[in-house]
Amino acid sequence: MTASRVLVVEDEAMIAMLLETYLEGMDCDVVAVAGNVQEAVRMATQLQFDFALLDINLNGQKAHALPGILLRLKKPFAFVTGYGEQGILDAYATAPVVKKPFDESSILLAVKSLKKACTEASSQQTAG
Amino acid sequence: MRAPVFLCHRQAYSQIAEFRIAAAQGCNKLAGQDAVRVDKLTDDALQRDAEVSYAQFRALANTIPNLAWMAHPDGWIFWYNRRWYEYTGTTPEEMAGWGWQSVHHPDRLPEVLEHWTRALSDGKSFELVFPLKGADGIYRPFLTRMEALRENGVIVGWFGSNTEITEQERARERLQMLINELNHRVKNTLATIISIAAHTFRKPAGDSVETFQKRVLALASVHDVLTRENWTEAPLQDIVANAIAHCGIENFDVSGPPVKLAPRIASAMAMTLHELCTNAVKHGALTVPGGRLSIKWTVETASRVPLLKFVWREHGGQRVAAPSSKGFGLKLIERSLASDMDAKVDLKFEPGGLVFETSIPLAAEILK
Repeated sequence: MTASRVLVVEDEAMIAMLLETYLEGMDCDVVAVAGNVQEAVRMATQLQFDFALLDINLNGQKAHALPGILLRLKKPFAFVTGYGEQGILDAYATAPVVKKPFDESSILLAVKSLKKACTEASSQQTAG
Repeated sequence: MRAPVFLCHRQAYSQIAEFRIAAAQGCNKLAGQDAVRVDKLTDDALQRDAEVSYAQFRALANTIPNLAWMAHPDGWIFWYNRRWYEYTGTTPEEMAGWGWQSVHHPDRLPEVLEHWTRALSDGKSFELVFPLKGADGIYRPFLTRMEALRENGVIVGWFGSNTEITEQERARERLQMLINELNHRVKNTLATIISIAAHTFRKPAGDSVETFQKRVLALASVHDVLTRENWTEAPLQDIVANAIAHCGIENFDVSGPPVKLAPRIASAMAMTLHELCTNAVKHGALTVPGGRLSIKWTVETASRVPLLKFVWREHGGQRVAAPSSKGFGLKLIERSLASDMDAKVDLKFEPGGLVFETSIPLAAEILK
């Protein structure tokens, strides 16, 4: 099985670095880290990746458009978020949520479910 | 219905008079229940004496900043104070009875009507916040209180007031926003500390604990500077002074104009300088006597966004080679400045020592 390609949307460099470190150990390649909304939208629409980890509050800017974009692109995603985003979490209730601060096991749980979503999506495509 | 009340007052007066006479005659009979009774009667009499005239009442009701009104027991409003008409820009003819509905927001009117009619049927006073349309067409939030006036247990009228609470609502929203932002920051800071721990202890060395503590302290010290400036900005010279304080400031040549940094740039710079200092003490110019460090910065204003050019240069240290793999410190420097701040970062391992250069766009960052 090839490594999953992951897009990380996170504005805090050190938190992004932690995600990368964890993801490396979970058979994942981080294809890019987006630190602001514009970058995130550009990367989501232009890069090749399997799933995404999303922080919504990017330095005070809210990446509220991003989940909808990823949904249209049929890319599974999980929220990695601090606080005060309940509205958007409820709107995309099927996406896994990792609350900050997080440890390796909670990221692993989300990654497992995202990998499963990817597999299901690709088998559906093959079937269709 | 008025007659018994009046009679009651007359009886009260005559009895008070009797007691007064008795007291004046030196009788010492006023004890126990009688004393309580005379107190009560005196209160009633005083209350009657203190009753205000309609002119006095109107003057008072028109002076208060609140909107105020009176209604009959069936809810028909027959009087508003002047402030009501001033705020709503309406006339007594438009407002009479149930005309007040025209200044309510259609979305909230059903709820208000429900409260109003329930109060009229069960006689219970209530409090409710709802918007009222001003003469300028703008809806503003009002805290409304209404209470029944009872005589002998029977409701004889309703009295109400509306107090504008735009400022309170704004303050409440601001407070909620700040609490949310604070929560967000606390969670992010905790996640950052976990990241520092995970990276510092991944390949444990003898001094890992000390390294970890110093990294957390560096993060804390920039918070100190930012708190001093109300989390709006931090002077670069303070950030530099904080960072190099533990490495012997006599080894540094620092020069640059006063520059204020936005919180995120300040944090990234503080962590970067901390890692550079640690590196200089462990592997760079500060490992040998006579090794020196120069920190210079300038601000270029020619471009649309002012650019901070910052140079850290080590002299007279050991010959350093670029490390074979990037440690946490190096990654942190590149990542926090380059990816977060759109900054250009250049790290060179020159024969004379390490040279670190960065140019950071000083775009206005607003604390949201």
